[in-house]
Amino acid sequence: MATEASQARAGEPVLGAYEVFAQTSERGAMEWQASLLAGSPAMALMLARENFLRRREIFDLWVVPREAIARAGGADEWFRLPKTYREVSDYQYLVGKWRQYHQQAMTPDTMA
Amino acid sequence: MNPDGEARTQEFLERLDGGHLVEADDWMPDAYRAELVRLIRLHAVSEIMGTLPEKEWVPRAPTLYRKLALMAKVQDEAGHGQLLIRVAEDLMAPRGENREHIMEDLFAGRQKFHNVFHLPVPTWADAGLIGWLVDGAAIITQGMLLGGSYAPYTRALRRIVEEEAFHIQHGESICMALAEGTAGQRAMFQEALTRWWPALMMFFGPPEDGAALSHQAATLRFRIRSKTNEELRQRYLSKYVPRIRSLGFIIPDPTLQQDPDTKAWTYQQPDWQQWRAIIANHGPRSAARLNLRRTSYAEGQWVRDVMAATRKAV
Repeated sequence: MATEASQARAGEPVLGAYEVFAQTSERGAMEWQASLLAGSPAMALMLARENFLRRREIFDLWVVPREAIARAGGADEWFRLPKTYREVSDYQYLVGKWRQYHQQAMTPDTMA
Repeated sequence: MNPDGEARTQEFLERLDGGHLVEADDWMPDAYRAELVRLIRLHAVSEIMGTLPEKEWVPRAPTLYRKLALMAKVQDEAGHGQLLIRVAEDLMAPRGENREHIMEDLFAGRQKFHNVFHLPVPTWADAGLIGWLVDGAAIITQGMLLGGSYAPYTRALRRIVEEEAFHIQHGESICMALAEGTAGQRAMFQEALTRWWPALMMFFGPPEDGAALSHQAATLRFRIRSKTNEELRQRYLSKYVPRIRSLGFIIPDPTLQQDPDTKAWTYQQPDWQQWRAIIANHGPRSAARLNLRRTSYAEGQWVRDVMAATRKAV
């Protein structure tokens, strides 16, 4: 199978897909914003800034070549295994229990 | 330090005072880096060593549901260790150090971990108490650190605290079941509480009038932390003493009381000499847990080798 590079004519830039991630709060995580085509990481950064992030304040920006991303794929059954025993929601009954003892249930927000 | 370095440090401190957050590749004074590495290494290794007391109860959990939840919690703690070690590694890289140095220091007795993870866990009530009262103490500390000046650490902490919310509920659930259980179950919890209380009072470290406060002062000045050991302990007492007492359990400290006006708690000081001995790996389970960690590290070497080889081949 011919590669993208071999299909390109001499001197013509090879466009590659980049996924764009931005950090929209200083303490926040990187979040996916968009996908774009660009000839280089520098061009991808410029296009990302101009096309997708013109208004929002951002703290950092990543462009990641799509081929650099390893995907699990949505068909992976592991993501759909029942895991409620790992969730706070399974313990909501404690709110009522603490009320019986004239106490309030605690959350990380009220503790810190 | 040369005058340029001093001026740069002063400017750095002023930016911190203005609310500036520091990223891994920003310039930082050596002392700032050293305090962060020390704190995050202690946190990371405590998460990892903290899996060992609780995992002792995975095969003996009373129901399948409890077993699943306890395994999930142990798995979370190991994950927290991984998150934190990456944060520490980025800070240690300029010194040419990585996670292997952390493990070597742990095995050689140069890397401390929290006092509570040096102790035995003889009953299911002890396992529940760790989830409720030890994780509760940890979340009070971590919640305070969330507002710190080093952004990569606070981002890791945010994920950790979200998972800790499940841990404290899981611990409360076990303790509540024992509190509402048979006389034998209530007695089991009371014995665990009596056993653990001094260690819980030690958890936040000595009060301000004790020794070894230089790190506390430095991390406060660098805005890595915002509260003192004693402020955290007072908060912990305010949160937990009323809850423990509401379930009818007795805290083994006859001097424990809260001033109705100032709301300040007075309490029996734990034996701080004993605390120093425990964190110097002279606790009742220190040697056994370090040996287990050493053995599993050695036995896991082939796994690390295989994973590294796969990475190179792809």
